[in-house]
Amino acid sequence: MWNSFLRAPGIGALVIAIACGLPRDPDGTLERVRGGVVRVGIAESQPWVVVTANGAEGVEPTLVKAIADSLGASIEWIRKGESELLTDLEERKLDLVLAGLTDDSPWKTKVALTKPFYEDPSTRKKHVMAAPPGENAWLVFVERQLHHHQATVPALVRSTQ
Amino acid sequence: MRIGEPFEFPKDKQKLRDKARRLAFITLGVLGLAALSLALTLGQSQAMKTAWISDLLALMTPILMLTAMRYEKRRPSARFPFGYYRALSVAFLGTAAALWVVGGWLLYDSLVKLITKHRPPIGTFSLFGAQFDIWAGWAMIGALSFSIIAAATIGHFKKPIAHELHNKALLADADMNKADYMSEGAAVVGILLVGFGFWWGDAVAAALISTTIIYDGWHNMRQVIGDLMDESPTTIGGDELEDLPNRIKLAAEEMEWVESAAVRLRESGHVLNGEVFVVPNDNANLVRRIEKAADDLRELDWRIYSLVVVPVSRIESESPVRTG
Repeated sequence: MWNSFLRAPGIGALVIAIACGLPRDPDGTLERVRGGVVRVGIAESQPWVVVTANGAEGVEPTLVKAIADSLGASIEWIRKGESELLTDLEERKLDLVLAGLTDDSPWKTKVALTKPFYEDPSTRKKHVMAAPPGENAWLVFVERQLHHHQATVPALVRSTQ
Repeated sequence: MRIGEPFEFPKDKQKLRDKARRLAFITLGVLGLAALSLALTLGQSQAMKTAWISDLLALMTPILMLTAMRYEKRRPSARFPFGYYRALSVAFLGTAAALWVVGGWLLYDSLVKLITKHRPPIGTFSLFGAQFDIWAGWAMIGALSFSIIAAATIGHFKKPIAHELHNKALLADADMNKADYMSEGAAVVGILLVGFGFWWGDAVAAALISTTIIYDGWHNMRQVIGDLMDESPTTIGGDELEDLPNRIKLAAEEMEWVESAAVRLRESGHVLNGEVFVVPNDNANLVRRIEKAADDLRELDWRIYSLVVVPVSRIESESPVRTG
């Protein structure tokens, strides 16, 4: 009985959340990306991002490909230096930046860093991706997906080493 | 004449004072818990940060009040021969200064975020490293709701006690609790606005909250200034001058040996001090009569601590008193 008593507000909140569809994006990123194109900035950072001739390999691109698949979206890879990419992201010209970023990045006040998808057991560094600031529906979607795929990350890291 | 005695509360007021003290401890506990719950859900929202700091500042008042309550009943000492009852004003000064500095800084911070069009990222909620798939905004609103209920309940209990004890510190504390829960309401609206895609909602709510913090500071400063300027006793909550000085004047003039009288009272913390100048028409037994007059006049209000009756040959001018 207590269990259901405690669960009721949670379910209530979830119902409201789904009913209102909160949060929403100020710029509608999630809606635009769904069935469309995800603009992903990449900067070489082994083993997290390995830039190839026609795209990218490595831990982070593998995760992002899964996210794009779940939306029926294709990916446009944009290759630039890390700080250039993050400046573009801040101006919302990109939808995600993959650059082997960690949660202590000085960019965290300018762009939206995701929740960590992997913690390095030796360095204790928490690895994150970067999303445009304030596109919260998109951010929540990416974080849920990363959380969903989190268990596969250690194997991915090992396979690339 | 006894000069070295500390101020004694009447029995019924003493009980209320104990109650006020218990409430201050409860405030510390409950608001501390609320502040903790806000801290755990904080995230990157400016409105949340502002509400959280405002909660922490609201903890200052009960702490200072409890400290002042320890000091104000101390016996006058060689260093402080008038006693320690002004400890409460010192507490007010501290709170006012803190509220202004922090409120001003938060206002600046939120205006900068508004002008630079900072869009607050609010993603999924995580607690102690565990990640949940719900939007963090809901967790924030939950924590804020808890804090709203806590502050509203506590403030509700404080108000009547503050009125009966004529304790302006406690009333200011209750007012602060009110400002606190209203600003947390603003934070909820701000977060919902962000949820609906209006990124400016967060910074606007934060600016609004910082304004109420600054206003709280003014409220406290007003008390200190009144105290420093030796303001005549004012009604609690209304800030109207009381007619007590006039009542003392009339009571003194009613004594058959008094020709005329003039009265000056000042409010220091929650006690009243002052002088009664009397022109006697009969100098027989003057010393005893004056001592008795001081004791009798003190009975007119329980807050009177030190009332000095001074015989003079004539009163050439006097400060006006409110009649009513």
